[in-house]
Amino acid sequence: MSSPEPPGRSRASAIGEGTSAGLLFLAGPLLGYFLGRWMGGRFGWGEAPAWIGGGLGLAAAFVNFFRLAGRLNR
Amino acid sequence: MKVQATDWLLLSPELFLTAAGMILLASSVFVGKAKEELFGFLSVLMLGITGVLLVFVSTMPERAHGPILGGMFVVDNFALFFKFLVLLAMVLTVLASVRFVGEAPYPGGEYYALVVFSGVGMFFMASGSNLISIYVALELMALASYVLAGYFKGEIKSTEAALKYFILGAFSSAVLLYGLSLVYGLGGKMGLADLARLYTGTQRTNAIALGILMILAGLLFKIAAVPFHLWTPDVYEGSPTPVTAFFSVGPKVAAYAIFARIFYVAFPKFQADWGLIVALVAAATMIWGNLAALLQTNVKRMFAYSSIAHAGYALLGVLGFQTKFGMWGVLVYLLAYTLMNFGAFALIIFLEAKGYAAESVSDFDGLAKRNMPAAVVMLLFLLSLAGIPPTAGFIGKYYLFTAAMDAGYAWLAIIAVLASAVSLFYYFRIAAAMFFTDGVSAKIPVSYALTAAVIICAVGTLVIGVAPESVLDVLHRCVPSKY
Repeated sequence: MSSPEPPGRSRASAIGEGTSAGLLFLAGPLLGYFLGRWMGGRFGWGEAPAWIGGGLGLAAAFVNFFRLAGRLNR
Repeated sequence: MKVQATDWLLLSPELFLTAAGMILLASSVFVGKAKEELFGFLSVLMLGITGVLLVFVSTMPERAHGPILGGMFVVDNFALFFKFLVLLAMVLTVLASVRFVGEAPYPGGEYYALVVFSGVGMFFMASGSNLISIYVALELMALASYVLAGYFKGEIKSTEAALKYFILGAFSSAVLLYGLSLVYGLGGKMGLADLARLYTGTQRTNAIALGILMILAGLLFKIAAVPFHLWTPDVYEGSPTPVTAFFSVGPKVAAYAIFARIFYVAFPKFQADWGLIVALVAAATMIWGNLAALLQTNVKRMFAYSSIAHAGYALLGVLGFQTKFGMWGVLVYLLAYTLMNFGAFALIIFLEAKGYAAESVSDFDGLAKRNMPAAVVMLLFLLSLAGIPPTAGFIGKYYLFTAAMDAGYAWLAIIAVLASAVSLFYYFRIAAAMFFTDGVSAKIPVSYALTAAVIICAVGTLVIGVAPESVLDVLHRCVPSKY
């Protein structure tokens, strides 16, 4: 009862792509947040860049996710 | 063995449930297939009465006197919590089964009776405070479960699931029994409290370590932890979906109850020995469960691997038994897990209809256009399973990860966070299919019982996530004492 594999993709590459797409949901917002916070401190813009950076990081994670999910569904 | 009349009163929920199972079984001979829906409603009624009896038992002052029936069982808050949780799982299973069993060409009375008998075993597991009573209760639960897995006896997948479950389950039971007999043979005691007292002033010997290791292996099989998880995907995929939903919560919850009883009460002294093994198993379970789920296109298999990963998260609480959040976290997480995981399975059953099996990710395509409330509720369960606030899953994971940190397993907490992040991919994949893809316009049949099950799970998942204080307070009172 093994599950069908998407044609043309090895198990390792599927695991790699899925893992990286999942981890980006954690890494993206964190990276964006800390980068924004550093910029806010460096240029005296306050807290706003940190949250904008976090939001952009999350958006990047979603863009990457949809790109991969679209490819998997084809 | 000293037995008092009140002992039987304290076990009245189990006794009533046993009688209920026998009534269901006997009446199935006289009621035809056409009126089979009656069994579903009769089961819910009987489970409701069992709930009332549990409330009655919770008010009895005799509970404070300690173990009953000569030390075989204990009816403390911890046991009552697990009984309520098992009862909830049984009610949800029955509600989710009414339409499903009605459409199947097999007798329904036996099905509901088996669910009830399996539940009786889980009730006794929650109360077991003696090696024999724990083992017999576990077997009672397991034997009914094996038959439930093969309920669709005309379908090869269901038969295969039952056989695999039976053979591997029997193997793990044997390993567990060897462990229990070794521990008994070395100490000459069966009661967990007696064993705890015996081992307080004893140095660990290799024989005790072997006994503990075998008990651990047997229990890890029951909760489907890596490397004892191999049965899970096939059994989950082959079993009828309401049975899969029941398996994904009921037996696991009951197995965690005896896991906690044995290792928290009897063997806390040897935690340095079993702790490292459990930590490595937890890490492997979280990593492998999530990575394997990434590859699945069958939703039942995906949730099977997801449930393996969740077993790994709950093991973090087991490792943190001695900390403030350890046992508490396990209780919170198991409640959250029961609601969110059963809710997700209930939605799969909701979509299943004749000629349309909601078993593939692509079967969820365009669900938002066909039934927006169903898609939104499924999204809620998926977010909760991934541990996103404000849901029950987030609260549960927060407690477990904190317990692991407090117990000195920070590396394990980091692995758990990373594994949770990976799980976002496969949960979001279902969400993306529901909201951003065009699907077929298959009609979704309405079942009020199933809708009720989904609503119970959704409300619970949200309430624990948004206003956890009241629930957390109650659960804190359920943390067992080392009697």
